[in-house]
Amino acid sequence: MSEQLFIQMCITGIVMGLIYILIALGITLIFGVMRIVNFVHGEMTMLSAFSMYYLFEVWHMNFILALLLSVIAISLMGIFFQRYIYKPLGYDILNVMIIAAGASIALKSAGWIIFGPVPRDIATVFPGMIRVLGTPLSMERAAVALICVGLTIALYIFLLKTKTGKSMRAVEQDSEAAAVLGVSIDRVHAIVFVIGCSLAAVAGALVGMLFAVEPEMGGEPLLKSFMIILIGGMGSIPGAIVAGLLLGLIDSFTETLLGGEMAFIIGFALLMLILIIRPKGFFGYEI
Amino acid sequence: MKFSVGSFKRYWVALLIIFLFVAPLFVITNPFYLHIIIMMCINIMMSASMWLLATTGLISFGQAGFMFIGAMTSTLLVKELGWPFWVCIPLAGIVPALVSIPVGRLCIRIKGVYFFLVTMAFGELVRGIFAYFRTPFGGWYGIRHIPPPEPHSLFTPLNKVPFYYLGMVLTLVTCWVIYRISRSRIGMTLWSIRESDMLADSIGVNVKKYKLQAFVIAGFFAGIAGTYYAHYFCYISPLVFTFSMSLNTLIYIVVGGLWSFSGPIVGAAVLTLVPEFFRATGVYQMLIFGLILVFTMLFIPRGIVGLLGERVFPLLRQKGERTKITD
Repeated sequence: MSEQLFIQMCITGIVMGLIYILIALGITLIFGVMRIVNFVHGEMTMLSAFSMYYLFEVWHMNFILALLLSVIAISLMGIFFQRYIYKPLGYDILNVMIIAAGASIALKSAGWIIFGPVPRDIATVFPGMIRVLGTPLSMERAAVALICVGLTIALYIFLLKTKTGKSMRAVEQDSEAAAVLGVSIDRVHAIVFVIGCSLAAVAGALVGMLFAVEPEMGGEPLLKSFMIILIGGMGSIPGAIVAGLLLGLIDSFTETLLGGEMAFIIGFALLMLILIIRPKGFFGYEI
Repeated sequence: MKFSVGSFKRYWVALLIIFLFVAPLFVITNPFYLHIIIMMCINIMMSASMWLLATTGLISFGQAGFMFIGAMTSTLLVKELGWPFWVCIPLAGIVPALVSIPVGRLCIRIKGVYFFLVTMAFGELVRGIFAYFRTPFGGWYGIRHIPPPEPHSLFTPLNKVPFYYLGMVLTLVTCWVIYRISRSRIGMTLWSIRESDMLADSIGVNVKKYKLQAFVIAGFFAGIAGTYYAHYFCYISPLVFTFSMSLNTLIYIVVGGLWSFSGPIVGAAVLTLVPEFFRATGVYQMLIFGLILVFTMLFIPRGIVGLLGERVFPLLRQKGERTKITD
């Protein structure tokens, strides 16, 4: 293994890991505050990538405007799910998971029916190359990495410093006490869903820029973010960041050195292993 | 959790079974209808076995994995080693059951959503391993030309009647065994674990042992369903026994109703008809099933059987709140 290849694999792994972190942060935020698992997250990234494809690639809209519109659309979808699908079930974690699994499979099949199986491509917005440690890296990947880091830091500051962020953390710690102190639980739930689904929408747009846009594209990031959350612990943001980078690196190394099929097996074996060794993750809550 | 099976109900069940056994001779002669009933048999076997596990509050998404192991066992034995099919049927149940003992031992410790994820990972892991090794397992292309059961003169691909009777017998045996288990002491214990495993533990129930028993029994019958599937379709591949197959099994149970044994059977029977009659296959079937699952959970939380019990047959009325798969 040459040094060049090693650096290349590290960089690919870190970029993938950052995208996974973005998706995982949405799931972990929703779980932390509401104690439910949003299984539709993967399909949200898929829908966002398709909306980016149509708005930006087919209708030649401005990139920022297209991204904004996709984020708004996916956030509205998130609020719809929160209000009309998860709330009537009383946020019971297992029932929500089952209904979300049904909704996810329905959305994925709708994607197959509407968009067809042909993979699409979104043209790059950031052309060019830079060199990192003597290894060529496309501007696109560098920009994706920067966006991911920026959003993660912004989310962290939002949660720590703003009033809304503080009320979200209050609900996370004890929702009844927060309600007594005047925090509107319903409003916080809606905001959490908007933030989580916006992160999924941005991640979908970024994945669509780097890879092919197709109806099955949501499955793998979802699975990877579950693994991130399980390693890092449900509801823990620093845990998700550490685990995301670790998983991205593992992913990149196994895929390059052992091939895609073995990486598939190793991925699931790792998931089982983590669950069996430490069911509640390394920093997380007990359910 | 009262199973109000009176003599009235028993009489109808007996009549239905007799009808189904005589039916291919007089009524159902069209091969298409026979095919639908055969599909129903497979789905009922799957959902009934998973129901037993679901009564403990564990939702397994790895049932397709056990089905695949069973199908692969009998396929390899029959095709590669030339063993007779009738010897392989019990083996196709025993091998997944043996696999499920260590897997179950590890998975049972995990509760709720994490159990759901670990069993899902197990199902995908089975697929991945069978897809990786091309020499015995056929890789992603799967195994074709699986020989039908003996005698070959009777079980031909065009003649569905013997397959119908085989499926009917297997399904009845599966249902009878699971029904007896669910009505026995073990079944009552499983329900008590669903209500509250801590409470059950506190009165001296060995919760892990009973959960493991349910897991192994579910794995056994999933394997049997798998071998029947393999020898009926003569083809298995990792693309057949996917996560969607396990999810479908869950959908049958939820739509039929979790609260009584008739739930999974009714759910599997009704939902097998839906795609076949609307000619909806592949993605259209998954779209319909996904929507049906969402709408059932929102609007008919106790499933078809619960709805009939509440609205249509006050005779069969049972006590119970909204369907909660577990708490």
